[in-house]
Amino acid sequence: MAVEVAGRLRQVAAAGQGIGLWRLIRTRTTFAAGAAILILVSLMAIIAPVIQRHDPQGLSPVDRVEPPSAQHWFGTDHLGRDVYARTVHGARISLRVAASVALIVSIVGVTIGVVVGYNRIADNIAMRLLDGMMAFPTLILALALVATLGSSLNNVIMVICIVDTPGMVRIVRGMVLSLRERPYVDAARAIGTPLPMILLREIAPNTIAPVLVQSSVYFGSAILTESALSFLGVGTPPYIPSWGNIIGQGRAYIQVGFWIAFFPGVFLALTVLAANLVGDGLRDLLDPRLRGAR
Amino acid sequence: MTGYIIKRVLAAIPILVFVGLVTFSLVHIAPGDAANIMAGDYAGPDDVKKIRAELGLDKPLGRQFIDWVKRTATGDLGRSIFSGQSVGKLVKQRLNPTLSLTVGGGLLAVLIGIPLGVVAAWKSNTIVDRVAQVFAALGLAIPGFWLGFILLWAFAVNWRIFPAIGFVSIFDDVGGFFRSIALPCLLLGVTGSAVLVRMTRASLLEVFREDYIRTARAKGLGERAVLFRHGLRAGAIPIITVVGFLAAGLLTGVVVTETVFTIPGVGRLVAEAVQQRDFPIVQSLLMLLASVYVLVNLLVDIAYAYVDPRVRL
Amino acid sequence: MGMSGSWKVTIVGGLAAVALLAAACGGEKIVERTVVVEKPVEVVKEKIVEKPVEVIKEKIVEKTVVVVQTATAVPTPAAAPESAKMGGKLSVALAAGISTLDVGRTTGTTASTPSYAVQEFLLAYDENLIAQPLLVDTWSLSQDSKKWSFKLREGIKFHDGTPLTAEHAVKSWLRWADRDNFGNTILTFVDKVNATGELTFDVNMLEPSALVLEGMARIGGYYPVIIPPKMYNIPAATGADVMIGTGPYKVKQYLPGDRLTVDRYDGYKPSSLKASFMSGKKVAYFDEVAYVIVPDQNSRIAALKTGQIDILDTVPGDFYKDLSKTAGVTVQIITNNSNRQGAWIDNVDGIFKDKRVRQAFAMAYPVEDALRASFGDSQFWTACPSMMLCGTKWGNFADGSQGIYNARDVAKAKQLVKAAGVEGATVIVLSPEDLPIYANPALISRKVLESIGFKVDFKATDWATQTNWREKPELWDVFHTAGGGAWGANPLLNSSLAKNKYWNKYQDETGRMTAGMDKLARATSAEQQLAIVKEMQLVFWEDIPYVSFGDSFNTAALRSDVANSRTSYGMPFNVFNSWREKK
Repeated sequence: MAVEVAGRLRQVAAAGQGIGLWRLIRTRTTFAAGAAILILVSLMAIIAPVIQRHDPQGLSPVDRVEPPSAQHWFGTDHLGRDVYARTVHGARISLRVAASVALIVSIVGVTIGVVVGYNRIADNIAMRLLDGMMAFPTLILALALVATLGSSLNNVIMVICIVDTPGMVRIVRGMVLSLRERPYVDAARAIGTPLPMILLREIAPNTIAPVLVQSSVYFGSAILTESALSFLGVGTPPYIPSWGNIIGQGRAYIQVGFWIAFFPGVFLALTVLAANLVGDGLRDLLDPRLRGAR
Repeated sequence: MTGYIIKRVLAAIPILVFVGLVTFSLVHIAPGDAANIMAGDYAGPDDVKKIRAELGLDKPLGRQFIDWVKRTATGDLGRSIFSGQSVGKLVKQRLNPTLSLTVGGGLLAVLIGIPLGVVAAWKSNTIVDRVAQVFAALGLAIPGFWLGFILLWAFAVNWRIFPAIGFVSIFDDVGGFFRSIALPCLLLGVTGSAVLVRMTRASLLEVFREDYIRTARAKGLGERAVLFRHGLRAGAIPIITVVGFLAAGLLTGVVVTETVFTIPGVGRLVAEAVQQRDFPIVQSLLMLLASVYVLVNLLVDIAYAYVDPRVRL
Repeated sequence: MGMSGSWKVTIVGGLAAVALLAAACGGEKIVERTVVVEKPVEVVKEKIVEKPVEVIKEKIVEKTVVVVQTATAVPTPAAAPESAKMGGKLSVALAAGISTLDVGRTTGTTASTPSYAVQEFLLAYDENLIAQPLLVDTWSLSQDSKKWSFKLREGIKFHDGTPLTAEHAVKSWLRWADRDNFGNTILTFVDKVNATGELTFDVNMLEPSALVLEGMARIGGYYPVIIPPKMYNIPAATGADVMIGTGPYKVKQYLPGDRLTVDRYDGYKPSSLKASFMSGKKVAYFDEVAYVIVPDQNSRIAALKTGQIDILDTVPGDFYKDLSKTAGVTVQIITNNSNRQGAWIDNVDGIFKDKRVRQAFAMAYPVEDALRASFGDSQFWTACPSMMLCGTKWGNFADGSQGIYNARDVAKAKQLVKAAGVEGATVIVLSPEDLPIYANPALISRKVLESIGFKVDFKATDWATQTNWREKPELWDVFHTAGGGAWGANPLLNSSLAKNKYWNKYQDETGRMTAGMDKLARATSAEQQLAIVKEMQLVFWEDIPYVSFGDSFNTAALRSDVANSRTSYGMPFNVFNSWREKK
């Protein structure tokens, strides 16, 4: 019964695709654009301390809510902190959240997915649990979880992982279910290859393509979820400038200082957009099967 | 078919049991309780102790769980610690705005998303396609609340076209109703349609490559006829799936949307109950929303099975 | 008004403490709430504090402290015919959900704001904070000053139709006295309260005291509202789930989390006295008043601009300019009722057990930075060196604060920390991220603590979590909050100064603060009281039960066509006796 759900997810992952030469080129250009943006933003995050110009935490209550100027490129927030410095610095936090989520979800998702896909009993138990987890609307579950665990950067990452992992497990499990019937897996089994070896050598590597695609989706959505949590007041703590909480704190001042929420918002949207473009591109490059000709 | 439906319904039961367990434990290991908030800031340690005892929050956790299961089993969803009103009544009061928003936003999403997706697929690689794709890409990348602020600032504060806060029931004032839900629905519609555009376009592109479409074209059937007679019918199956996803997305979307536009709906009820540590409400609403989600998925699966008989096997 | 009691207040009283109790404003800090309206007529300005070392440049150079000694007469608005004022609807914004409909259950302002229109007291303060009769008609005091006799006005009915009787009055009042800390104090003077007839009741005293009258008119803290049996039969801790009273408006509809709507109570029986602050004649001009819950600040301001909200009792200072320019909106900085801001420290567990460390923290603290971080330009706050709120009767002197308050003496503070042998220790600072006015000073506190040689464990949480953590001394060392009204005007009502009463768990090792309280409660002249409070202030600046920053003013904004609605002494904006000017 879970197969059709996995199938549905795969269709989601396959959205926006077709075939043909021009399409491949288009895919590569958007992929290139996405990758370029991601690289730039990552670079910005890495060299943030060099290019930040001001202390992102430097309070200057006298200069509060000042519009963009030569001194403060993106203006200042309600505590007089430099929005440019915070935005640049925010890239570090937001990308850290995104990368951690993508990585952890992939590793945990593949591990559980492979085991579950190969073991009937584990499958039955795990699928019931995952169905339960997936029954909660994601944001609402995340909201309740962060409220429970308390808001810290690690908790936010953990919660987004908890919310995202079931989807990944499903995809991997779906892959494994079909992979294990493949002739070469049968062959490996026939020549007496031990099960862990089969899982490690034959099954796991073949799940990489959809996992990569899906993790790029999670990369983008993690940034969005973090920001939504910050907006609802339970995200990353305020003294850690993530894009989400810069916007979250700036929202109260939109009518007198739109720049506080505007600039980090632009960076956020651009990065999520880039992650999605990369995901689309990866899908086309890595997994021709998903390209559509089913 | 009936067998399939029964199977699906039965499968939903353990899910709900699990959901209940998670819900209770979530809420009860949370730091911060309602007694402190209830008391007000001038209240000292003694006052808080009194209120905590009053609310039963000083009982051991196991005891509280048993009490909760007993009550829930008899259909008593509990009472809000703050307003003292039953959760059922609170939800009922707030159903109208939330339903209006999800129906309106969902409808808008479908009305924007599917035609745009169809046109994009049909006219692929044209400027129309590009515009549709940019729209979809942005819709997926921009945080909903951020877009909401912009809408609020532009349409409510600056141009004064729509109200900035609140909800008017359709039974009280039809014009006011549409004005009050215009911005929230626009927000839900735009973010929801982004997914729809992508999915519709993708699935139709696949369909258009199928042999029978090529055959239809080859035998000289008009473009329009090919699209409507063959293309859309085949494309409908994945689109049903997507609409299911949309419904789930809307459930999450209303939390943010209702908060941005100060709509007294179920979404805001959840968010505020979490902030206030109003346990009974958080518990019941998590249960309720998860159930709705399970139900929607159930319906989607059934619809899917209905359209695509292979699934029933 | 021939009440024999009224003059006796001054005599018996000696307890003029009393009038002060009234300078009250309660406020649950969860809701960042506004206090009183900008003084319409006369403000007494005096420069009480010369600014100490000015480290941070200030944009606003001139800094005066506005001190309002007494309430001033509400100016009679241009006479419009009564009928022309009638009708229309009014919307008042509430920044948080109404936590309960029973003001006997909470000191929170979300409940007391609508209660102000719906429920009434036995006595009510006029604009000079003299208790005037409201539900009571007349009263007298026995020859030996040990028995107060009250008679209620005739023909008053609660909104649910129950006629007001002496029994209801007595039971409601006792329910309040049992709940409220000031009420508890009063009860120590009281022997028995009993109804003597349909409309008459007596208060028999153990010792003569005029506090009884103040208790009937008490504002700030819990409100002594007179309620029907349906409400008072439910214990205050449980809280009734209805709001019923005798006021000019009655509850029409309550949608939790959304709004509470009140409409005109046709059976209202107004007092025949002239309207003055809370007392006298009240008229419900509006057909309907809606208290709309709008938790998001941005939305509240947007709704005020679009006219969906008429009264917004708190606006951050940053919006002052923007709103001043908005057509149809009037903004007010309310200087005559402020909140004392500060850093509350854990006196029983951790480094602050040592008085020297508390002193060091206070001595290094740049209070203006904290106030500015929360409230913006200095027109919105005043650095105040007195223990009690600046502008109140006992808040006009700096005794004991020299060299410690706002001294910014990091070097000396470091020495003290070293002397105490706790250098390098870890200090836990709580920061409620959902409340910037308390989260912002937390950032300053962190800097200060680091500068005097501590490591800071900065715990960003939300207010709800913080309220729980502060119950456990090992979980925190510093949190930020504020107090206003009676709490800030009278040491007797300031729980943070009482031994072990509030979360700071002040220990008063020398016992001098407690002794001061005792003397103050029994003092009989204004001079005596002043001298006692001055002494207590010396103890305050030596002991540092909490680090006091100074006082914040509130900014409120109204639609300009709302006439005759104002806020005084921490009470919400009045919605009775107010109307909408027609163009």
